[in-house]
Amino acid sequence: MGVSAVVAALRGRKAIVTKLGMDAHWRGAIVVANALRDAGMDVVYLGHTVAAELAAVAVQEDPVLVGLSTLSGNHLTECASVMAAFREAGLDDVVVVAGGTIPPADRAKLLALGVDQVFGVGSPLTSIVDEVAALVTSRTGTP
Amino acid sequence: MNRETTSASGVPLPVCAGPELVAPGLDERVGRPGEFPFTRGVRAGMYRERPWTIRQLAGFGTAQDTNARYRMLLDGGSTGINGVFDYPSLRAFDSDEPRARADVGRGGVAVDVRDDFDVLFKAIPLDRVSVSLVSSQPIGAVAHLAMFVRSAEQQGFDRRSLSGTSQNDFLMETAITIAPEALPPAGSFRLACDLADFALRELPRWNPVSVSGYNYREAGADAVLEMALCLAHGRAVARELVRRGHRPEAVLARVSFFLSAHNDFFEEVAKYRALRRMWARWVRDEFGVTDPRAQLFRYHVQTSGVTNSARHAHVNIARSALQGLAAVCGGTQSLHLNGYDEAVCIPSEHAAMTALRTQYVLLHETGVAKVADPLGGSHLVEYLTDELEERAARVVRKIDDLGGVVAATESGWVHSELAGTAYADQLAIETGEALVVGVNTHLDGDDEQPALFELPDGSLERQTARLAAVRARRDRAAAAAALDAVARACRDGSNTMPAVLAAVDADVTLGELGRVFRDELGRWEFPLW
Repeated sequence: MGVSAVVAALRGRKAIVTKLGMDAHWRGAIVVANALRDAGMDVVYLGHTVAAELAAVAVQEDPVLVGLSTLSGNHLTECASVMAAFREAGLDDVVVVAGGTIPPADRAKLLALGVDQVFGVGSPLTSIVDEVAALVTSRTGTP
Repeated sequence: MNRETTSASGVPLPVCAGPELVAPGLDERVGRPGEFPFTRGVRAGMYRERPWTIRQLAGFGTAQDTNARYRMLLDGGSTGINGVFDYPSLRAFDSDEPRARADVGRGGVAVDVRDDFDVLFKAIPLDRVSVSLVSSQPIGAVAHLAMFVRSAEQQGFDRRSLSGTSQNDFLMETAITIAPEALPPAGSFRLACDLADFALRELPRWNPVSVSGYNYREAGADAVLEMALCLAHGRAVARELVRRGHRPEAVLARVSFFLSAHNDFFEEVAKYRALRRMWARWVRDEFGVTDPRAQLFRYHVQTSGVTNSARHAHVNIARSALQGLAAVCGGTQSLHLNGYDEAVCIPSEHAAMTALRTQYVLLHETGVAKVADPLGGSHLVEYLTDELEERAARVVRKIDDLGGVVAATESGWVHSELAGTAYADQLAIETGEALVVGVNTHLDGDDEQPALFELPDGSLERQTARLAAVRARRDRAAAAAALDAVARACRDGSNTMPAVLAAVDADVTLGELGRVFRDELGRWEFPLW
């Protein structure tokens, strides 16, 4: 059992968790993927993708949530590519969140790119799950 | 597991340890420093005889940027270089590859061709300064060592005079920081052994493998799993090199290890002591080797990055100092202390120099360096040493039952152990079962953020321009022929290193070498999830 009970808004819904670029520290991504699964989500861990591949997988898998994990400092470049690829693919409804070693000063820049939420170092899993549930609820209109 | 009454790895702790905890026969298990089984240290005089190597990790931006950082650290008192490469370079992708561009110069220095090594080690006396090439994935390790050796030779150094270490840990490619387009474990292990085989023949002062328990720990392992994976992996490498025709004494004198210094002070001290003893006994029992130089478990230690907090980052100075103290009390031969800002960025100059000076506080001011194994004989430390030994031996037997460390990786067992512990540890922090200052307790007060290290401007542009210039000036036919020779060596099972050295001379790039290895040895769907 994880940190939270199954969350109604997330139960049975699909999430994709992935890493971008060359950074290969998977610990944070896998820990968050486990927490989302414990919250009831159907989680696909993609490992490494590039923006175009990720958009193609997202079109096929139809997730409500995509989580981008980064530790190397590549977040501004890589998240910009993902958001552009998602717009081009018409993936406007997917909730996109980013997490990892993201300096507080870059948070606003990521939100401006269209990322829905940013979880920096030290974000508790409980608050990640809660915030993701709220975002999914407001995006899909159903609890 | 009740985290209040056990060590970090789950060994039960009494409130006060007494002699009843320590099994009979302690003298035989512990011995004297510098004597079998080396529980108390690798040398009789320990740090009086020779201080540990002060080896601070460095690398960012381009070769020029990092050369300046190396010199700053050497001028400040570092006694070795610990060179870290950026993410594309570790994984053998060129800096101008589209999927690599966002990571160029990040987390380490960007290198693509031999020319970059000429700049990286300019005006550094490579016959006197020992250089650890922190190239973990074997493709990168093979290519970087070839570039380093050829560059050093062109600067006039004899390859037999070069001293240092290649990290060259196949688990890094396959289980720890899984690269895009990772090689399968068997192919990755083969390349790692190709490098080691070459180094044993040609580079008498080079440690060709540094089994990276540190990274296993950072990915999720507890102390016991860190120990067991180190032992199982070190054994596999040693056995393979002996199978390739090397004398056990020669192999064992060159295999080295890289360990974590984590938070649980006494458990960490016990971990180093237990590993020395386990390794020495295994060397004696499996190979009948009695040469002390070949029985020693030789290792470098880095303080634990994953224990550092982003909030109240200055507190990380205290964490690193205490972890470093554990490493020194445990008898490490080489040490890196993390910069206080490493939870959020690579170390700034201020953080790097603070860490370096903290090493000198340990060496000159605390007094711990005056005595070998200062905690030896402590009921608690001896009990933990025995317990960790027994628990790690059990996990090594489990890995043997799975068919050895390569098979255990292929099956996904290593991944599931690491990911399971990582998640459990995070949950313990979330539920407050484990307290971390600035993370789930003592959050109050100003959170003065350190100034973030910023990558020098234009690293990507400068690096890709250098790469383009080398590509333009080289003999294309010679480069293509050299790559064909690498592919042939992959296919016919011979050692790939000579072909890689020739390819480096033909100005073949890291990414081109990576592609050949991936095409020939295969790509792997890793069983992480």
